[in-house]
Amino acid sequence: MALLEIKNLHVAVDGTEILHGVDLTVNPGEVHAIMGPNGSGKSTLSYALAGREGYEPSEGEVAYDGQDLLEMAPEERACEGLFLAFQYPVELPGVGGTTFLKHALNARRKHRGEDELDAMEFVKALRAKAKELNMSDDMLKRPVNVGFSGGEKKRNETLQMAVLEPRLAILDETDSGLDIDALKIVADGVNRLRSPERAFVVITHYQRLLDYIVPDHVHVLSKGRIVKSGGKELAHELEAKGYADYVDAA
Amino acid sequence: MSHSDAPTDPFLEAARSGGAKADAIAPLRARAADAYAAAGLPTRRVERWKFTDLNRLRKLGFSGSPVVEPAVVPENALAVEGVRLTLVNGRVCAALSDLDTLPEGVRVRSLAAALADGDAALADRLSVDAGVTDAPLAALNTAALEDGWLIDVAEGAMVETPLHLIFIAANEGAEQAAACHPRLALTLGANASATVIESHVGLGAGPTFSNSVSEIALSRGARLGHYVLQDETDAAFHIASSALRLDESAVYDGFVLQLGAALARRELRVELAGPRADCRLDGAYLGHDAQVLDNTLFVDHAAPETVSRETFKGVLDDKARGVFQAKTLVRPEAQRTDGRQLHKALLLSDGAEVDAKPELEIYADDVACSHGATAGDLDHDQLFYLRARGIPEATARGLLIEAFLTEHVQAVAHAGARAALAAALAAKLKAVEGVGA
Repeated sequence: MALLEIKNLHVAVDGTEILHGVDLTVNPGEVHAIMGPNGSGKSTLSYALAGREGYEPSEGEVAYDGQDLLEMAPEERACEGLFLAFQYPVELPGVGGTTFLKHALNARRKHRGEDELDAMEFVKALRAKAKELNMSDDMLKRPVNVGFSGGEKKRNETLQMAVLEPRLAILDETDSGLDIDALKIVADGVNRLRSPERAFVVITHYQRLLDYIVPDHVHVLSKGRIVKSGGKELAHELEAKGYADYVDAA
Repeated sequence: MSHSDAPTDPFLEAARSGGAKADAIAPLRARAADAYAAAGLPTRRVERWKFTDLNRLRKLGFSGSPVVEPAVVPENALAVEGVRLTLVNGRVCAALSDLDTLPEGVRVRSLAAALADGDAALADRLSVDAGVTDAPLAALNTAALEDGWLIDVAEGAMVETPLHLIFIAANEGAEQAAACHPRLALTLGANASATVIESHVGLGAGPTFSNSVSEIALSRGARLGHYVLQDETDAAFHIASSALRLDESAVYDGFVLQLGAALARRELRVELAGPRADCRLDGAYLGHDAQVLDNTLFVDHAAPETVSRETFKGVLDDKARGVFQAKTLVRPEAQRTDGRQLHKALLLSDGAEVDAKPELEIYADDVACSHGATAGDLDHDQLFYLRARGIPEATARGLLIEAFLTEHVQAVAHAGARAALAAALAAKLKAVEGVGA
């Protein structure tokens, strides 16, 4: 069974339809890249899947592991294993990073009927994962994303993903604002998580990220529709030729 | 007194009988009684009381207060290491006061004892209304006061151990409303430094009215850290009028956390009397049900190069109301003044309301002054971010509410006070918003 099955998804934001019927099927273990120019609806798709207020679909269906995803609250989607790495991670002044992640992880464990982790166990596991992402203990203690550079914010998103171990991770322009070193660290973090049970939807404007996170399938999103799908070579083609063909075709 | 005098004023008789007392401050009491009689309990027609309605207090018909000797301090008082000085219904409670272990350089006397001794200096030490404008309740305190603390920190004394002033408004009967008028007169000698922590708490479910007045004077170069918790009962009315005077280069660091009482108004008047006097007046409040929490500040920059910093943050739920009135006056001679005001409120329900009135009145030309006020709901982006990580909406809201206030409390300079205030806030958040571990 497909992990994610999107059929004819229409989403309007503030009264303007952005997605005009998106179809996409993602199976466990696959990495899909969604590429497209600015304004093609990439972030709208990611917000609609994560359940953001104001991004409720007007038409279409989304099945996640056989369940109706659109019926679920954002926190329910997350607890079922859907993870959105934000393009613009939100700053949470006064909310410590460790506290935040502990709440998130324990919510998920509770949802699955597992015992909540005690603080010591949790901190130990967190430190190990943070180290892999080159994040200091200090960054974990500080309020979430407050005063973080663009690269630190993206590493923090990757850390959250590593801790929460999602079944489906949507990476929304995770490469934006990253220098090459940060990009490698983030990509390594993602690649460590690749497994036959887990799937990724990598949303990006540029091909660069896909040199490090190699996709199984590449889709071109233009003007709210997927206008072309192919293998990883499609990304190289887009890099060489740009989106002009698709923008005109759509 | 005839019934026709002022049939609606519940405190006129207390003011009059206090004003007739023949003790060491008799002339002061008489003037105070006259001042109260002339003004009466403030109504919303008085500009400074426009946002805070005392009608509920008026209707309760308060009398005097019972003598209560509790065995222990209520558990919601701040958990802080310090020398306890406890007033119960405005009277010294020796059993809950550590008068035998006062730090060196600190002199503490009971006001009742000083009055009984006929201490003539008292009349100079206390004032009718602590200099607060439109403050008939401060005058009522002066007319009706029974007891309180006279605290003096000697010149040059560096007092490490905090003085923990505990004010208990007790009414276990619930039948009759109890009013008390606690008084504090505190001085710091030149270059002295001290920390004063206050816990205003309640005992019993009966209605109480605590009408306190504090007069605090810091001599040249003195430093006072002053951290206050107001967590009285749901049936409590809390009015606190404080006057603070800072001489040259004196530094005042204050934080007020208001969590309790049906209605609470804390009014603070600060006179920056000497050059380079510096005050920080910070605070936070959390209101729910139909609570009214009022913080009214007046800072008078009367000398050059004086500094004032005011940051207040409030969270209001249900039908609670918050009031923040802050006026900063910069006199012509107060050149190079630096005065900042900031008020931020979080409104968690449609019925919650905040009235913020920041005012700057500036007569000097070389000054840096600013004020700002914001009020709004929780940030939707933050809420979504938390929920997108699996955190249930109620918990997410709780974390953000806690963060909004906790962040401010964590900025309190004194470590002991900071920890105790944070704990008090966490306990209240858990009780009223279901927040926290």
